[in-house]
Amino acid sequence: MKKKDLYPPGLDISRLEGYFIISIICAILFSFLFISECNEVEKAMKMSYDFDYFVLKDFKTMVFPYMWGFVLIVIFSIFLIPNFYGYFSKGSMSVYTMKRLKNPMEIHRRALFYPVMFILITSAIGLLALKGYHNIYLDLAEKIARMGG
Amino acid sequence: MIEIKNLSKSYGDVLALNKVNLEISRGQIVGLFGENGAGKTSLMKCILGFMKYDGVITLDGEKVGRRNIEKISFATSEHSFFSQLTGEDHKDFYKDHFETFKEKRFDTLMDFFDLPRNKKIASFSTGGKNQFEVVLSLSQGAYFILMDEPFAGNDIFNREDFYKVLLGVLEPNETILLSTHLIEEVSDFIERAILLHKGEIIGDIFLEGLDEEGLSLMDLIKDKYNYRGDRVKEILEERDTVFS
Repeated sequence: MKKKDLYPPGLDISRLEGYFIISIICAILFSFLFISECNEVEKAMKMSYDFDYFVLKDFKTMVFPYMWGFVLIVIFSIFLIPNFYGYFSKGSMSVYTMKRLKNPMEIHRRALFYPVMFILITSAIGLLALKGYHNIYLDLAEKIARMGG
Repeated sequence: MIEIKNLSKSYGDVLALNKVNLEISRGQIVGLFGENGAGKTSLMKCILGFMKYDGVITLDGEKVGRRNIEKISFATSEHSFFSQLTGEDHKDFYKDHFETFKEKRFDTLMDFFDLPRNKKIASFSTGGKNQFEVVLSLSQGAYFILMDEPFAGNDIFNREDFYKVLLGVLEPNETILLSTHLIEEVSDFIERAILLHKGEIIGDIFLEGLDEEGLSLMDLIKDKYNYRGDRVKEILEERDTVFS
């Protein structure tokens, strides 16, 4: 199967791929702010007078604001699905041609492949980032425990 | 052969087709006539399986479905091409998806209509788009070619070209079901006229021998639709009486 069989005919897929790559890079860079917050927390901890009363926010609360980039890409990709189906009725009714093809899955493959791929790639990168950030968080928690200890 | 038995289709309370029975053999050019809303487009879309309907439609004895849909092509004034693809792109797409695609016919027709091959179809004029739609439907390699107002918006020269093409390229086993309002223009080359009125077939006329009987298709159609040409005159006269 060729790449051109995986999206609606005539769609400028290179541009969409470009937007996706830029969005993923932005989402990753934005999530890096979590590391900076961890550093801030560590600094604040070191400067704190009373370690015993220092409370580290739980991981979910701390990390969630920095994962928004990934969430937005997933939401955008979900919205791409009706858009891709609608593409076959925009400018002309090429949906009539799609309905006359032998393979009934042809239209679905072309409408779903890229959005689903974007969702999977984004989720995979997001989960990897979460895993990495969780390790950083655990290190931080351990350091704080030692300091308080 | 396309066989239609007791075909009914309704949109909510509106009955678009009412128990239509029809047989169309291979090798005919059939005109489908009727006023706006008579059910012409609905009939074609039911044949193609684009919409749900009551009744039975078979193609060579088999229900129309994915297995045999390739035998039917469709040219519509709504256009079924991909507007962002070029002519060459379409050729590739059709070659990939229709085993019976007639590449030579496609090339010949593109040349005949003088259509650019490497420009997006979206950039074509309305006439060019209609011509391209016809080129695709004739090149798909289908036996049954359904055409729904394929040259709506084309000038007389475009239409003349279209008629020449139809008569020039069709093979004996190819059938055309042509829906149009241009009855007089097509009456010279169609072999049969099916008349629809409010979702029902009110006439099925074979044109062979009509001339010898001194009849014209137009007269027959007017008769079937109970058309009264003097109606306008009567209304105008009535109005004059009221106002005088």
